[in-house]
Amino acid sequence: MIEIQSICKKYGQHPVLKNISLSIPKGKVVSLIGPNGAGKSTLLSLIARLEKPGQGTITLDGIGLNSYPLSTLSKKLSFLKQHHVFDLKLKVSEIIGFGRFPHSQGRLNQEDHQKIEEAIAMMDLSAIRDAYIDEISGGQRQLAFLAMIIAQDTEYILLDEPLNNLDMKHAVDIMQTVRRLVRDFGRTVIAVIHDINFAANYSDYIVGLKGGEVVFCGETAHMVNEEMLRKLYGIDFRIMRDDTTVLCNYYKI
Amino acid sequence: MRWSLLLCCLILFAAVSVLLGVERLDLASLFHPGAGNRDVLWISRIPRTVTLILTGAGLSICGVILQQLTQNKFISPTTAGTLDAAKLGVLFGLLFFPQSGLLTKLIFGMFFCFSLTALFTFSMIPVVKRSTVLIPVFGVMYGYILNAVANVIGVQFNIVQNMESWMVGNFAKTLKGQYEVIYILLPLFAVCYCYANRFTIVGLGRGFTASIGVNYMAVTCVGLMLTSIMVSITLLTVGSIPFIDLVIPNLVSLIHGDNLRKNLPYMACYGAITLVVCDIMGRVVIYPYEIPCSMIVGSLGALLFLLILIRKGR
Amino acid sequence: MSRQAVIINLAALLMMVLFVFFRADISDVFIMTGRLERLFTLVLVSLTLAYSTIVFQTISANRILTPSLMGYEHLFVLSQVLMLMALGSGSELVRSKVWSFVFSTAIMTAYSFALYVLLFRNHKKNVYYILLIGLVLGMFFSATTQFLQMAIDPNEYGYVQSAMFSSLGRTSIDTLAIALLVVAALLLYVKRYFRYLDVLSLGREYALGLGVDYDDLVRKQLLAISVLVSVSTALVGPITFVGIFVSGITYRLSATASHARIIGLAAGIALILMTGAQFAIEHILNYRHSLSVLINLLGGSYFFVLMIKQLRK
Repeated sequence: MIEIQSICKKYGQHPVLKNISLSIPKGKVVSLIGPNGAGKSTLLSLIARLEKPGQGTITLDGIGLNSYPLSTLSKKLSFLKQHHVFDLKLKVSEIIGFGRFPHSQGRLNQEDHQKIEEAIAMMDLSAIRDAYIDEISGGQRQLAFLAMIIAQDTEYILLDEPLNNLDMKHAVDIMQTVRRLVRDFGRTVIAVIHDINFAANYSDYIVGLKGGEVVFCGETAHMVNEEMLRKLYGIDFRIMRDDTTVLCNYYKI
Repeated sequence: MRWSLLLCCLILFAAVSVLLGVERLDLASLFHPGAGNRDVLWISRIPRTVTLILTGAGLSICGVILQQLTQNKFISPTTAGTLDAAKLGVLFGLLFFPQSGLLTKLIFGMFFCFSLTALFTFSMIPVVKRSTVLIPVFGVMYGYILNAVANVIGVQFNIVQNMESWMVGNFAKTLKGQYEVIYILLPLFAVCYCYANRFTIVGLGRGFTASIGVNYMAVTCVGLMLTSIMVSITLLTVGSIPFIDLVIPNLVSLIHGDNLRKNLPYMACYGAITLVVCDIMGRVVIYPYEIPCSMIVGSLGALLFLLILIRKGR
Repeated sequence: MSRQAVIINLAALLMMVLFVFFRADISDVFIMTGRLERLFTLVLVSLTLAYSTIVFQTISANRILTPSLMGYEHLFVLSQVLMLMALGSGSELVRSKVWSFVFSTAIMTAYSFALYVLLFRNHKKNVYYILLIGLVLGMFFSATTQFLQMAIDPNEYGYVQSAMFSSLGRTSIDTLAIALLVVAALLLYVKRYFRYLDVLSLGREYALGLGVDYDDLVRKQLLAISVLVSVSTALVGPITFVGIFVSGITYRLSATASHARIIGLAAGIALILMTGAQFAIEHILNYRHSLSVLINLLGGSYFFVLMIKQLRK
């Protein structure tokens, strides 16, 4: 469980997060949604300890985030960024291999190779395992880096806009993988997601941020309704549900 | 700064420059020079000060012209290889006609200067973007290559004893009988002033120039020609003075904007004052020895350019 | 070992043998010692150049900047002149090679950190903007050095200048010994970080996420780079464009992202380049030109072509 208390963050004079307090439950898919500039990616960076908050504290499983030594933290929590390097002469399998670094510092043993193979299988990357990352498409690169995160084998997985630049099939594949990680492997996934429909359909828990403040935070079923979404995005929604999925229609002609 | 104030500063510093030196002169001797003083005045002091003023003005004007032609605030004879092209030209002049005089060296210098700078400028035209930093980097490299080539040729054919100190800008050698060629700059200033508006138009882009009916090619070539002649003359008379042609135009445009016709006199004045002051500093710091002016200008100029870069980068 | 590595290693070996034995009278101790000394210097410089350039490029996340292009070498010379000015030529500190080296290295390390914090950390800055700043800084340092040298002693200007630099022909045994110790100690120290360097190239966020203390590692590496550049400048003077040339070719030829292999390859290429150039100077050009002029012309031309390619994009 991640407790966020009174977090404030400024970039220069500009406040990006204003007094955020949240509880993020364990073993769930949690989405951070909201309009541009809401502070979602910033909040994720703070949880990943890539940046320091101006004020406030974050605790991870009851212990202050700052007390974790880096080596322990990297085995507990992993982070997928928005933009990836693409001009390195690295093979897909080598990138995935980097995910084992916190465990074995680059000297791969039996267990590491097993985890790597599992990650390749889960993301269905066997066909391109020996391709260089500057030769594959942007979507495939995203899958490769996600496989690296999976190989890192951490309890908490943080994803910063994982569906950017992905075609529909890849996006659905990733979200289904994310659900599997939570359902079958007991992980906690926190993802910044731009597309309201992916967030609504695949998350257990939704946090809505706007202008650096929390607008709502709770179970998806309760939060995804027209009133809440209008409050968050400032536009009207028509919400249509069937047995298994929900569609938030915001198109206006 | 107001025009009259500027002129007063110039006259003041010029007077200091004339009076300063190993042989002490005082103000009275300016107006009633004795026999010995008269020689010092006319053979070295006044030529030196006149050269300083004209060189400072000339280089600043060259800088602003190149800036307009390439539409880039960081391009000047220092960062477009023009100084080094002139150097290379003079070297070739020395190589092929070792006995010939000033005029041959000047013509070679001008020719190389013009063709190599034109090569650079016309190659940059398709790539022009106002804020691109890549072009000055490229220009600096271009100048470096030309300099290195000159280095190799100079040493290989035994033309120059010490390439390091050849052509270092030094006003100590401006003596009566050797410096008169600098006066050619005066009519050139007049030509620049006449063309100033056209340079500004060219600085607004090819499309705009065409729609107004100004001949882009012709004006660019005139600008390059003027710049080449002025740079070659200053190079031959005193050696290479870096950075002043880059910093003065930038500072003036910060204060006075970008209207070339209006700014040209200011440009000339600021340039002249700067160079005179730097030379005075060079003569004072280790009096009675002298530090070549170009070292002071180079050092201060580089620093100022850095500050301009950092400011623009924000 | 990959095919390219084998070829480069063989070529380097060949160059070394050629350098030492070409038209040499083995019984002439003077000539042979001279050649071995020069070869050894070049080997050291190749190692330092390879490491400092490649790691610097990893830290600054691009393949265009190198320490020399950011004015490091000129700062080294300037710091020596500053020390001379501040302490006077009679001072014990100035005359001791070790202490003057330590002083200059300290200044360069401070400079590294300043550059890192001001320019490299914020990756939104345009690489060419940083490059232009680096080039102008280099010009500033060298112009100021000239100015100060003149101010110190206008009559002996040339003497001060040549005493400041050693060039390849004038390295002494004790300087070489110190350089060897320094480089060996440093490389032993950083050897265990090679794998961590590989993670560095994924960027700060991934490095931290994978448990690598990015900021601490970068500081250590910058320190190492400063020391190595000091060593190479003290041995042969500024070789501004060789780094970019060597790294460009190395990345062209290498098919791996492992820093250990890339640095090794770069060192081999640098050695071939420099022994080749020095060989040409000694046997073909009759000592007319200096090593730095020649290899800078070559490296500078390469960099020039690189800029042309960037412009076309």
